[in-house]
Amino acid sequence: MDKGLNKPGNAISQLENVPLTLSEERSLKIRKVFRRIPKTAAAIVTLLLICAIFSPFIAPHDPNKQDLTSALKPPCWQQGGSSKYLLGTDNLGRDILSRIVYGARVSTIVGFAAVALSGLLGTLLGIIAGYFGGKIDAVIMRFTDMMLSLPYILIAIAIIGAIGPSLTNLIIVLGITQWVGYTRIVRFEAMSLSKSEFIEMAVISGCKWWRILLVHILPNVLNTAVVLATLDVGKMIIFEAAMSFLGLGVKPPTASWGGMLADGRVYLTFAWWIATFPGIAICITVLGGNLLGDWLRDELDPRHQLKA
Amino acid sequence: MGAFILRRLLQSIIVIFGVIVITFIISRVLGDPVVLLLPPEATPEQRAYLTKDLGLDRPIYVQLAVYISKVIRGDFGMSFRHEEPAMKLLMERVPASLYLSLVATFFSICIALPLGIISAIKRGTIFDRIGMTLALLGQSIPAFWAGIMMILLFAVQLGWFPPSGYGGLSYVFLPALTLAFFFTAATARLTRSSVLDVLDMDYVRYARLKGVPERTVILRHVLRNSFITILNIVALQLGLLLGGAVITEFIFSWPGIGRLSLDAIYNRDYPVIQATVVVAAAFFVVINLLVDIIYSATDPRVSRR
Repeated sequence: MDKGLNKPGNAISQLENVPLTLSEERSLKIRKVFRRIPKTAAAIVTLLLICAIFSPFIAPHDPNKQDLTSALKPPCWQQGGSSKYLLGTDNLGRDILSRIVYGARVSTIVGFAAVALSGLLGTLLGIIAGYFGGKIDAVIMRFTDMMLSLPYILIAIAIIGAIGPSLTNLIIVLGITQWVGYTRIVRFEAMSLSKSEFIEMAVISGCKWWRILLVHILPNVLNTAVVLATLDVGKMIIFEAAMSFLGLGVKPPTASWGGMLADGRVYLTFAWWIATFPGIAICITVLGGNLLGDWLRDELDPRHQLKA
Repeated sequence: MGAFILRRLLQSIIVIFGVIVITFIISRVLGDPVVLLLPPEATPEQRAYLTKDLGLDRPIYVQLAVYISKVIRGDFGMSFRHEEPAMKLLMERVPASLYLSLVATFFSICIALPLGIISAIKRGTIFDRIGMTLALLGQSIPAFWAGIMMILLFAVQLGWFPPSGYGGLSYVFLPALTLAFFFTAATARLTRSSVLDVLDMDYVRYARLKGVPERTVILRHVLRNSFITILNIVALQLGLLLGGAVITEFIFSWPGIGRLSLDAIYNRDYPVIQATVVVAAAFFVVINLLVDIIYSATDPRVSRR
């Protein structure tokens, strides 16, 4: 937190009086920001992406290969475990470690796609409501109130239950139930922006409304939206795991962390490792996302910087 | 203040009305009850009879009007699955859900408030760091996984609590802790920032300048003023808990609303789903309204906004 208190331009002023060109100054600024990225968070996110992209090269076994003769093997450090299956095997003899590595794919895809969808939807509705105000604002706000009061888990389960579980359906459902947070916060910013001088100038100079929204207001609320989105990735990953846990996520043979938890729950009394390791994977991933989000918020929101 | 309450009341009614319409649309879009209710080998005459019986042959807006007028009277129709009104099934489950939610809220308050308040007052110290690290960890652990792990540790390994079922304190302990899990972290962080907000206020600085003992400043000025915000947070969470306990109730076989609605969804029992969604949403809206009214009664600045 105290990192955020660094005076902007500290590093620049250290380079005594050497005049900097604009582009040099900018690249210095960017480098400075990169240096401040929390190491843990960056490491976690990188690991997740590597696992997701290069799963076939990292996973020691085929994640779906069943081998009933080596079913329910404990992790290698426990009695009865073998170094062939580092984290043990599940009830069908599938390698837990390999399934976790492949499971990173589902989590990553759902996490990013659902956040992108809900962020886009919520931000657009937010700038529209905030800029136009009046009746349009009232309608959008009542609609967000409605979405907020609906038990969204139930709605998501009900929709998936009806249209059938699949990766795409899951992303769509998460996208259309989770945009409310963006709308409420972005609207607030757009409202104060729309009263500012540069927007008035744009209106006077005959700028079309959609141009004002997209070119003048959107870039100015983007910081907030990005922070919210980063903080939301973890939430979406947990949500995806919850849906897969209930059997409403990706279809069974595909490895997903939530699905593995559901398998493990059945065998909890005599094979603790099946449910434990995918859960740890979820925790670490979500922690990475939250750390990154917290950091971004402190970086981009000066008000927060002072408070923390 | 009266105008503010009236406006909020009107908004709440609109929201509940909208939720009722949404549940109607969802049920109509998602499936034809006639297909669900009758076996595949049913004759066309039987289908036509049931369609007429359920009023599905009438124009859609008439159906909507009939639906709304029934829902307002608390009539969601008969459950497809059980030979009972959906509302009655739901009401039977309310005590269990309320019980679980209240205990969970209690846990959440007991852990989160001290954590948030201490972190704020001792800002930047080791207490703050530990408190906020705990909160961050809490937010990163999926509650349902924590629930499974607690079953593994406290029920399977140590045998302190029963792994599932409905009953007294020993039964409610683990599910309530699971349900409280996520909210505790969020509440702790929100409490901290609301206390920090108040600490920044001029009157707190003035009280300190005046030489008021720190303990008095905290108790009389800071906590009293941040209490309303905290109350708001807690009330909102209670509203969310009732509808959001689906997975917790599933893991612990807790016979609450969440469990009922999950079963209803698996069985495509639309009347029950509609009843659950509308009642949960109405509950949330009413709690929100009450909080706003209390808020405006205690803080005149709110209603003037």
